[in-house]
Amino acid sequence: MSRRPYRVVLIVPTGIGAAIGGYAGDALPVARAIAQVADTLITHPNVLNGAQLYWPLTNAYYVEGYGLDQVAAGRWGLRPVHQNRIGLVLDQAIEPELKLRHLQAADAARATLGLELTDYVVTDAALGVELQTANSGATWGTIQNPDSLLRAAERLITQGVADAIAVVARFPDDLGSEALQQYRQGQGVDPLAGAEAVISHLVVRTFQIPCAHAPALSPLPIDSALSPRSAAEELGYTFLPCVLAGLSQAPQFINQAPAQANDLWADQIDAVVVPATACGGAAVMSLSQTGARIIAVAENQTTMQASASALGIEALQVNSYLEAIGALVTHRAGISGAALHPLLPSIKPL
Amino acid sequence: MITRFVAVEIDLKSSAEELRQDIEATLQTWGDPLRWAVVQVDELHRKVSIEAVVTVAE
Repeated sequence: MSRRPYRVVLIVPTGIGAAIGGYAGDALPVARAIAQVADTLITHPNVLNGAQLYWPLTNAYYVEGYGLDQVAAGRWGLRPVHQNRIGLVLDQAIEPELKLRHLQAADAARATLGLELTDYVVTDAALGVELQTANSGATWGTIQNPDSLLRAAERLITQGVADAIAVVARFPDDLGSEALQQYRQGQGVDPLAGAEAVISHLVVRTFQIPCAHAPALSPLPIDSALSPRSAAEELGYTFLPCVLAGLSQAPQFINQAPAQANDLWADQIDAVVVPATACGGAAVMSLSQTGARIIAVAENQTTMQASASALGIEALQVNSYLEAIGALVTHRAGISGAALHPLLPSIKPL
Repeated sequence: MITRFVAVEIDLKSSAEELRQDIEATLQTWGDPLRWAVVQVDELHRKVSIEAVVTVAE
């Protein structure tokens, strides 16, 4: 038994072609495994979202990326909840039949999962999602009408009394693109990911409320070469179920006072697990200053070239997530990892 | 408000905290930072490449 709760942050940034976690919620098994050795796992929607697939981890906090950056910097804390009322924002640009599919997904979550949703809002303008790939190979995106998104979210919060916001934006269909073909084969970089992050970041930054996004896309033709890592996103008409499941019990963001016993702040985080080449995000850089153990996983290759050592961050380098989990177990138990290797040199003078 | 993609290069700092503060200060000259990442570190020339999305009031 630990002397205090052991809390781990798992980060797999979206849109950087992570070999594990860069596809259809394919880092979820990693999250499930870490949740077995941690009292609390703090991670973000890209890790837990598998479109039609998700897994109810009772000790996992579903924390949007911008919010996670603020928590890591010590500006916000996390307060667990029993239930969030979810407000649904639908992009005006979604065509009628696809919109109906999303409303039916929302109704299914209410009837079959018992989730609490407010009435929904359609944006007063098409959000206008634009995608791009940067020189680094990461995908980014912008939206033409962010104010329309924020107006819709505000209505849900003030009139619908929503505690969390689910956004569905119409994304470009590009059936013939090489990027999409590669993605379906479990390779390359998710062409949608960067824009998705921008959408939820806008809502979280403005309203300090849990938020997650599901893209609205036309169904793809069946592909016999579909990668297992990408398969979860081709099971149905929407990506919405996992978002609603995650938001239903996502922790609320808090400022300093008043404090409650179960609140979680950055100085209570014990470890951070991150791909070895992707240590240059705000959350990792902030948490590297708190005393949390940074564990960098080499096998999870990405398009980034930002190692911990190059950034002056002290980190434990491991090859695989299995090794990372072993490192978490020894850390939690207060065991030196060196003692588990066959060769243990004698202690030397300082 | 508009959203804008930004790619910049700044000097590598001796500490991650100093670098993070410098990144955010640099991005503030372009707008309100929404999302950013260090995408590449050139240790030889002591430079880091940053990609970001910022928001700008219209």
